[in-house]
Amino acid sequence: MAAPESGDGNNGAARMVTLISSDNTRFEVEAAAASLSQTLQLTILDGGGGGGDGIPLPNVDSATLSKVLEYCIKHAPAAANGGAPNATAVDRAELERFDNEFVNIDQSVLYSLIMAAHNLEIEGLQSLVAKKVADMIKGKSPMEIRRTLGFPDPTPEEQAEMNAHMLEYGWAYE
Amino acid sequence: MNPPPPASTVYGMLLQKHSGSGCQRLMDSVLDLTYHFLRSCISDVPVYTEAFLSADFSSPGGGTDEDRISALPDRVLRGIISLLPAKDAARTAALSSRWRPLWRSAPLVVVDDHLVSGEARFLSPDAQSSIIVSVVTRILEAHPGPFCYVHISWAAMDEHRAELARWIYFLAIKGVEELVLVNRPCPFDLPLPSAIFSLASVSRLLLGVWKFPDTAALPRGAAFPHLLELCLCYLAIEDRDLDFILARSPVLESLVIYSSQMQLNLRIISSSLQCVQLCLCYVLELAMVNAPCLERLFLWETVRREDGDRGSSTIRFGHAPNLRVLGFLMPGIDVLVVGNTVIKVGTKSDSNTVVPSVRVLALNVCFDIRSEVKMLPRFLPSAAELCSDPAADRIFKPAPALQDPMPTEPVTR
Repeated sequence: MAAPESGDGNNGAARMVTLISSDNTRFEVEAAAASLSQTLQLTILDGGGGGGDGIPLPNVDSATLSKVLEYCIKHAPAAANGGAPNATAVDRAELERFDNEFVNIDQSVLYSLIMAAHNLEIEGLQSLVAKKVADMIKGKSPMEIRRTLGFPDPTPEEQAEMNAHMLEYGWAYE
Repeated sequence: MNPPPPASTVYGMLLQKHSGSGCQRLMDSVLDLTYHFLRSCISDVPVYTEAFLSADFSSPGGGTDEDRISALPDRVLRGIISLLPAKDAARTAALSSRWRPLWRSAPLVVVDDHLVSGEARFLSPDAQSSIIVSVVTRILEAHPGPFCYVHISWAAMDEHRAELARWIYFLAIKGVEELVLVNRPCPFDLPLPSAIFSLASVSRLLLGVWKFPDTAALPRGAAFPHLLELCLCYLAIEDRDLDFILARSPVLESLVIYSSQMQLNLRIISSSLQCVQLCLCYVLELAMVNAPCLERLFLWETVRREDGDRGSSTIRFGHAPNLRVLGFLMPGIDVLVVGNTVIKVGTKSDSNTVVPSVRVLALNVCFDIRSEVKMLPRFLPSAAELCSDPAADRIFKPAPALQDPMPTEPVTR
């Protein structure tokens, strides 16, 4: 069995990589955490991001990147264990608690996070933020969803279309 | 009253035993138990109605952050819609012109349990079935497909046979990847339309409480070309129809038979099947006739004689060169046949009677049959016995249907 520490680099010391946000802030993280991003994985595998170089991420600002990395650092050990068949129930419960807290955030941060997860292709984070938005929509009428998601007040045309939808898809409103 | 099922299962026996005595309440509860047991075998649905993550944060309000969600790419929004119960998903089409086409192009998840809400939950099973049937029909009509997951297990379909045929038609032409289709009893033997074989796109399929169609009359092209996992729960299905399914499912990897209305003679002839589980079935004979990829075989709580006692099952090792995991054999009760040789205490082990590939063997030992247990290592020389204890089958439950059909086991690939 491999040691619980990432063991990714040589001599047991975890390899670090540097990521650079769109506003030029540098973040140094373990390669294993950054590799949760499918987009970055191969670059890192090829030795990118090491030394003084750093990988520029022109689409992600520093506030969002720091949030993304918080997620990656927390989830990296479980991911290294191959999706966690060995993880204990306690570990899984802890990750679940972390995830619930993690998405308890302002909507503007949530949408930046969705875009970042999408651009960086971080599967677990993509599914977590999508679940969060889905949970905001569940059990609500279109008007309530619009309000929750911060849509402006509907125009008369939009109102008319909403009513038409309600007539055509009555089963969805029963 | 519907005729009781054949006496070849525990439930069938209980039902027959009590049907004459007018013990309707007991029968009902046995029926209920059967049905709830079957439902418990179905793995978790991918979409749920609860909003676990929705800590209601204050809406940004008044256009400061105007509708940033609508600026997200289609792919992301479709992904969100696919996580919603069917009714919620459909309602998103009313949000705005940006959202209108998205519902129709998002892969749809339909779970019947989500369609009955609020006060309707207190209605009679028949009334709930009618609601489910009518909504499912309208969803399948309105959405162009494909359907990534359709799960119907709460509806009694006897009164709705025409709709059932329509559903299967829609699922066939619009495409379904994963389908759970369970009839809520009674009756137990409602005929499943043979059009089920037109679901060419289905990759995971669970069928429960039906009379399986007679495959002798089917056209030559009838097949499940993409079926990977199949679970049959409490079906009235003939052996030749099981043979037919195996023959017409060229990529099938996992077969689970969870209780059956008939006794089983399963002949495994499949160049793709890797795992077979028979649970709570009445197994007369199981023959690995030609199963080059078969790695795991489980018999769990199989009933082996009509009176409920454990009569013998014959297990034939024909061609299964990759079988690694085998359980739960009952030494002294099951008859093992390797090639043409019946394995008995006095049988000599030689190259014709040894199954060298088995690495993990689970035994279910009921009483003192030490010599039978001791002889097994000679014929299964590479096997590490996981358990030779009557309590062991409590530890090694079979995995729920339609999930990874592998119980916890210390085997490395």
